[in-house]
Amino acid sequence: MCHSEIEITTDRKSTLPVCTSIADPLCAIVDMAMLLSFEEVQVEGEPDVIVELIDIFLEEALHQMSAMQQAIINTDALALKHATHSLKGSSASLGAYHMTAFCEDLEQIAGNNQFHSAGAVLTRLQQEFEQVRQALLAERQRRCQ
Amino acid sequence: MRILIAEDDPVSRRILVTFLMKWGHEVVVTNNGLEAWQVLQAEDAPSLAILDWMMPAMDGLEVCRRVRELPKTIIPYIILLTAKHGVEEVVKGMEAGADDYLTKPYHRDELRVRVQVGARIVELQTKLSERVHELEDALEQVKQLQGILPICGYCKKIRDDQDYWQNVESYIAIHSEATFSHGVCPACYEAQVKPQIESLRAALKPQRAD
Repeated sequence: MCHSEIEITTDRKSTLPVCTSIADPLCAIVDMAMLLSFEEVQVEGEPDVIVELIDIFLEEALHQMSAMQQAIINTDALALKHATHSLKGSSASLGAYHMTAFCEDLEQIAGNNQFHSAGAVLTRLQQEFEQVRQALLAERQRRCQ
Repeated sequence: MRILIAEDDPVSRRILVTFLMKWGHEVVVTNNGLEAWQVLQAEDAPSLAILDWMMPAMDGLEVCRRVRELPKTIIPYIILLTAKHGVEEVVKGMEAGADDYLTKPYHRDELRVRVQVGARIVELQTKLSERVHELEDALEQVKQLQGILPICGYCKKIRDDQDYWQNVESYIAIHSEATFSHGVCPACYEAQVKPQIESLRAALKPQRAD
C-alpha cells in the first residue's frame, strides 16, 4: 500500500506525476523498474552500475540534505534552491519520486523565499529518504550476494 | 565522438557517462560550468557538449553565451539538460545559444537520438568547413595570377613584388601550382631550330666529300 506521503504528492500542485493506484510504480518508495532499467547499460566486466549509482546517491543525498538544513537555518534561498534542485534530479533518475516531490516543494519555497514551512518539508524529505535508503540498501545487498 | 558533459550532480553525471560510453562515445567530464568553459575554449575541444542548466560557478546558460562568441570556425553543438519545464525556459536556453534542449528526467532513447542529431550536424559542419577551406585556397591561387604583371618587352622577364626580374617560367612556377614540360612550338622550330639543323648539315657536308 502507498505510504502516507502520497497525500502530500496528490494535494500539492506538482508538475510531477502522481500516484493513482496501488499497482502504480509511483506509489513505491523506489520505482524498481526505473532503477533496474540501468542494467541495460551495464558493460560486461565492469562494476555493477546500479550498485555504483546507489552508493553515489546515498552519499550525495545526505550531503544535499545537510546543505538544505544549513540553508534553511541561514534563510539562504539560493543555497536551498541549489541543493533541492540537485537532489530533485538524482532522486527522479533513480525512481525515488516522493523524494523528488518533496525536493520540488522545497525548491518552490526557496523560489518564493517563504521559509516558514521549509523545516517541516525537510523533515518529511528526511523521513522519506530513510525509507528510500532501506529500499536501495536491500537492492544493493541482493545484487552483491 | 568526443562529448563534453558538465553536470554538478554526481548521480546524474554518472548516469550520463554510463549512457554515452555505452553508445560508443568518448566522454570528457566536468563538474560545473566554469570547468566546461575552460575545456571548450581549447583548440581540440569536443565538438558536442551536454550542459546542465543549473550549476555552481557558472551555469549552463552562461557557458552557451560564451561559446557562441568564440572565434572558432566550428562552434561546439550544445544540448542543454535541465529540470526546467516551461516554454519560457526553453526559449531562454535556445536564445542563449543552445542547439537543443532536454528536460530531466529524460528518457535515455531520447537522449541517444538527440546526441545522434548533434553528431550529424557536427559532421556536416566539419565537411562544410573543409570545403570552404578548399575553395578559399583555390581562390587564393586564382588571385595570385590576377592583375597587371610588369613584363620586359624584350626578354619577357616579369618583375615580382620584390622588384626582382624573373623569367616567365620561374615566375609562374612560384605563383601557381603549374609545372612545365619543355618542347618547341612550330614557329620557333622554323625560326630557331631548323636554321641550326641546316647550318649543322652544311658544316658536315664538306667533311663527307673528303
